Amino acid sequence: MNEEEYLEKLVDDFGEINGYTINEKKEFSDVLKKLIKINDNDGTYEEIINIIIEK
Amino acid sequence: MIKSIDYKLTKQPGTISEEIFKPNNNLIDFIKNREEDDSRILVIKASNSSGKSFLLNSIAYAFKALELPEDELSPTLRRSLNYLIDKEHQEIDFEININDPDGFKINSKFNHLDENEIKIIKEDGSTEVIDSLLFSNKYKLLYDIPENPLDRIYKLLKSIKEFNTDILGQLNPLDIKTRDILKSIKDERDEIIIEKIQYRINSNLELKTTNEQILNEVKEKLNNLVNYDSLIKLQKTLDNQDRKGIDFDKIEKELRLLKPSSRLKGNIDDKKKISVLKKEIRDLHISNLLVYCKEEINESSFNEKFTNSFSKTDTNLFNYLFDNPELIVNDLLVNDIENITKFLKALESFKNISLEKVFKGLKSEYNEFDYRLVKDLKNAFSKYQENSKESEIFIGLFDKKPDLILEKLEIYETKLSAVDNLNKFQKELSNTISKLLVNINKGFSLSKKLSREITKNKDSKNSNYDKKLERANNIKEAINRDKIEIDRLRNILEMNGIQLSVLNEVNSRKALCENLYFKNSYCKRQEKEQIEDFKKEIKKQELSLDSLEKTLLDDEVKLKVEDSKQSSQYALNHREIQVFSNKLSFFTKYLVQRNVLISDNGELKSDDSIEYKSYMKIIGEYIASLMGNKIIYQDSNVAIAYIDYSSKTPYFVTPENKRIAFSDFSGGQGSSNYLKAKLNINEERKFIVLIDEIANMDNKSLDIVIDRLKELDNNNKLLLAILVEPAKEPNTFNIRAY
Repeated sequence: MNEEEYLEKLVDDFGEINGYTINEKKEFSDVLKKLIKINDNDGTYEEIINIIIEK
Repeated sequence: MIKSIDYKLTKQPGTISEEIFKPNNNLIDFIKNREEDDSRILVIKASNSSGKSFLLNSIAYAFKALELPEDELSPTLRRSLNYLIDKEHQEIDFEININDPDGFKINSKFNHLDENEIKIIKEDGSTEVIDSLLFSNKYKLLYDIPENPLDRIYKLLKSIKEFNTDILGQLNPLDIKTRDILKSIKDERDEIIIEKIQYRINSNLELKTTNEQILNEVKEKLNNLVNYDSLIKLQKTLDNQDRKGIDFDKIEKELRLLKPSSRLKGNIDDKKKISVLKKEIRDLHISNLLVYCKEEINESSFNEKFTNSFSKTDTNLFNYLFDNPELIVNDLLVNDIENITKFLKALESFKNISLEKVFKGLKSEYNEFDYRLVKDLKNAFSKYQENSKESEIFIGLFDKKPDLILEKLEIYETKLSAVDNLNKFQKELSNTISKLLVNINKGFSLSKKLSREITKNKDSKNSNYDKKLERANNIKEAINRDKIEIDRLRNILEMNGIQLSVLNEVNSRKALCENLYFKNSYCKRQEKEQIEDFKKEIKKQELSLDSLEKTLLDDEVKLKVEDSKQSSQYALNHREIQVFSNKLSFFTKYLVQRNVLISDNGELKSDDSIEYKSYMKIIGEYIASLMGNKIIYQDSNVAIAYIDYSSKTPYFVTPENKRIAFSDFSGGQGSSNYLKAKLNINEERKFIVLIDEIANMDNKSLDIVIDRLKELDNNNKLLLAILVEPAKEPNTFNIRAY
């Protein structure tokens, strides 16, 4: 299990506890992964906003 | 693969016990003969004292093993390395060259002159010395001797802790950044906010206009009531003043016909005493109490019934007592014993006979017991309705619905509530008359004292003249007091907008009074209560207008601020960003809470909460994945889905839900499983693997480790792996390559 898979499982568990739908879990997980990726490269505010609103 | 290895070990240097050791010939031959073979996985089986542990220690030291964190190097191996470099004991010159899978060479050497460096020799022949940090960023040194392998599997949880810390290290700055973004968006122009403020301002302006209208109406109504009251009082006081003026003229004429008494010279003290006694009599407010009683009766809602119940004697008594309230005060001031006694008797008779008779008659129209019953029933039905609406008992007892019964009871209650009002009215009137009787009796005593003081200084033979003179003086004083009251009432009326020309003319005053009486007819006989209610209402409206005014001022400033802001396209996405930010904050909190379950040294804190159970499974799955989801158990490969850490003895759980306790493993199997987990395929750095004492592993267990090393090698993740096991036969030094 790599970091990405581990993160997915955490999001899944978190989503389950908070009553998210499958789509909501996937959406949050995808955005989170993208944000972590750009955060590694010091993503700009614009990049962050675009990822959040694009989904 | 190892390109070359060379060392010179001098034990007990410079002593007679000095001994020199060189690499084993088998090792040198093996390297020479396999120059073209790029195998990086070697298993050395050698007899004791053949230098196999020395070889591992030297390679480990050359690749900075002593700089590994405490939990990544066992105390046993750390002691061995420190012993290795103890120069009092031995001197070492060591050098190793290894081909990196990426094409360059790694050269590491150290010697007894304290030279110790690692170099990268590139394909073009250029070299670069790399420091420990750079080296540890590229290579992961795993130098191990499998001790208590099962305990250590348990402690693999530490890697989860590190994993979580890594993720949190990324989430926290993200969380901060999204909050920053939201803050910036909040500072931007928001049309919705502007619209909301504008709407609030408009609504409040409308409300302000409405409230001002209400306030003005209430003020006008209050003025009408106050003006009417003041006009009535003014007229009464003017009438009183006129009547007193006539009385005064009459007494003055009588005085002129009488012979004045010879006067003794009164001293200042006596005059003072007289003045004080007069003041004390006036301060009993007897005339005010009489006016109050009369008004209570005349303005009461029972007035009509009340006066109709009066006999002719009662009416005469009423007029005698209340028509000229100043008379009794004057009688007291001149100590007219006959008049005072008559007045007291009349008042007692009015209270005990006239009023008692009238109230008895009025109350006979209502049944007080009926009223109490209706009140109690209404309370009981209201409570019943709140608690048990559809009770069968109720339907059995009454043939009407509770709502209808309650409605009927309310009608009765309103009708019979007159009993309450009548009792209240009787009590109030009776109390006031009792107070009057007390005060007149007090005034009577004071009057006697006053008479003594006055006659002390006068001729007792001519008391009739003195009494009349005193009465005239008292009337004069009363006229002066009326003047003051008239001025006060005129001031009030003037301030309330009544013109002087109206106030000065009797007919204008009457016309105005009639007009106001008509306007105030909505609250007939409730004027006093209405005045109090209006005063309260005005206060309330003024407070509400004040607060409205403040809100309007604040909103106007807010509108200006919001209106001056610039807009950006992201303001439209504020809600989406806010929602994501909230989720991110909660997720960060979720992970922080779960990370606390694992201590810094990899111990799992027990927590039976249901909400943590799912997370326990995730970490169990993660550790299982570190082992390639396979373990050696009873000489077979067994697939595992996850490790169940929820009980005291952890279990491996197979996909078929079969459970294998940690404690059921042999040492060799445990070592194999542990090593496999340590050789994490997801590790980004290349491994240098040095394992001592693998003797407790059987072939199957060893094969599992070799397979994982091969997997790493195939993924270019392995620089070198040397595994060492002891040989029972002496002078043995065999090397196998995989």
